[in-house]
Amino acid sequence: MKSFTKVAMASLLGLAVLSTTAYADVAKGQKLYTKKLKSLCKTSGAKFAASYTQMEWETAKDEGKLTEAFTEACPGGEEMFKGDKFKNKYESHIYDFVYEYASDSGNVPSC
Amino acid sequence: MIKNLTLISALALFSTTAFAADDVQVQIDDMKKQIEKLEKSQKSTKKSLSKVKSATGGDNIKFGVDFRNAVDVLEYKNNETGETASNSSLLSSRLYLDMAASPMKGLIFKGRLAIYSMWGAHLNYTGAKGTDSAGLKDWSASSKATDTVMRVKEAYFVYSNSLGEQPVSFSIGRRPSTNGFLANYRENEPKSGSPLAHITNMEVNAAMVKLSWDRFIEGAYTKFVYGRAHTGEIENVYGIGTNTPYATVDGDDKNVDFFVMPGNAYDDGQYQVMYQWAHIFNTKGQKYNDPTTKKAAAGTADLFSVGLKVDGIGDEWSDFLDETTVFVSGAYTYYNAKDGYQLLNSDPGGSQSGSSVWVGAIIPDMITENGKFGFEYNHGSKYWTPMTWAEDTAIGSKIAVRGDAYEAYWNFDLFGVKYLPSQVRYTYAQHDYTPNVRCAGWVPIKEEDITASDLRFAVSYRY
Repeated sequence: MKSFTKVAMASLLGLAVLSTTAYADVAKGQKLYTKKLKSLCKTSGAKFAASYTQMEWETAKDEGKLTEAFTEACPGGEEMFKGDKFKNKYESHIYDFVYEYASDSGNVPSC
Repeated sequence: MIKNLTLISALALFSTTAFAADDVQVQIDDMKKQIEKLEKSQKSTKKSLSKVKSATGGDNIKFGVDFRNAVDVLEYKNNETGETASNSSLLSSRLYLDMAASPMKGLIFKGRLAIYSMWGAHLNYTGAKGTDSAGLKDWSASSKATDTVMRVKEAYFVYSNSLGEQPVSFSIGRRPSTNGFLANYRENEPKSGSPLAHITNMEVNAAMVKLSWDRFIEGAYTKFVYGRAHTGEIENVYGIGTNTPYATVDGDDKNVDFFVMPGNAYDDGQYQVMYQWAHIFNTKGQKYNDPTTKKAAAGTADLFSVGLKVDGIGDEWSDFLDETTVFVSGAYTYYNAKDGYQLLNSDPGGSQSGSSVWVGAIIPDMITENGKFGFEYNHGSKYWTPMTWAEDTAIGSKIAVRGDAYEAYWNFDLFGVKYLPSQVRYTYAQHDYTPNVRCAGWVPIKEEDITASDLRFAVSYRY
């Protein structure tokens, strides 16, 4: 049993660190919205995300106009959206969140 | 001279105009070609869209999958008698088929179909002697014509609207009542279920009304939930020997209904305080000193809990602290027997109360991109009896421990792929009193010295 446990543990550890890829995260984006933006936007994450359709969010991202789109959806957060920290650290997660819960996504953040 | 100049100018103007006209014509031709291309493209898009519509037009639900395979290594020891028991490899598969739909603004449906099986298990296996059913195993049950069993873990809709300025939500069905507040970390799930997992973690059918107080206090709301956990004795459904199918039968096996009031006192995304009161009617115990009457409606139970979660320490002090979560939760249970009955070996008509604390910390693993280490500790008193049947711990609910439980886990993405969330988890429980495995009011409680441990390796596909 002990050898089995050790082998399983070692295998999982090896597999886990074999490759690490940075992914944006919907749940993280939702958490960041509540924590950093809700008070600035004065609206729920669901409403913020539903400001645009998935295609509109995607187009804004592709054209490098996410800051403008975010600002239009939440004028109170303009300063934050323009900051380097937001762009480097939060933007991808917030994008994943808004795309997941866009107006035409048929998804809702919580029950 | 002037005439010559005029002539030259006129010629120049004419040639320029001619060239400009040629240029415009070229542009028009280009535009025509582009329009033709666009028309073709639009036709093609329309055709594709029609195909997509005809293929998916009747699909009113979205599906997602959570498929987990796990091995649990279990150890038990009675430190008084020296008896031991173990299982070196409990292999299991769990498939959740998640459903969601939002046909209009303010209305959602969610559902979860579930299969949770041991590898090589008999169909309808309970572990008790004589429960093997007709030789059917889990690897043949889906390949042979048998029955119509499909399990529903969740199925509910929520309708949200406002009464004046008051946002109101209404829901009914099999609620998202498992792995609630704080339990999602140990289950490696990104979101928690609805209630406080410290006192209730079970599948329930109920109706819910939610009132949001967010306009007064950030993130605040209260839910009012009423449901039924047990249908009391009824006439048989085919009316055999009677003509009154489903009619209730007088006796001690009564309906067990519950009223639960979970809520958020405050939630700004970093600090979250949740509370819950649960009242259970006709909770099951027994007549005083008469074990033959176990599972009788013996009184009521009240369960209370308050929990604080801090998601991120400080305000951007460091990435490590930003990604760290800590929590503390306290809970109290009070079982009150009616005259002539007892709950948790109380006096006739007496009561028993228990309490528990639960603390935890979840920190970045600093090895993988999104991996986390979690550490939790639970302590429960002698009569601590929450309702945590759905807690997914093979050795029994660690939150319900009457003694101490320690737990450490590592949640990470296999191969760094976010669709393959995986976990290594070790749970150790020291039972100072009768293990609360069944969370049952008729089981007498006495001093024990039993230890149990569960080492789990789990790999999931989730998308």
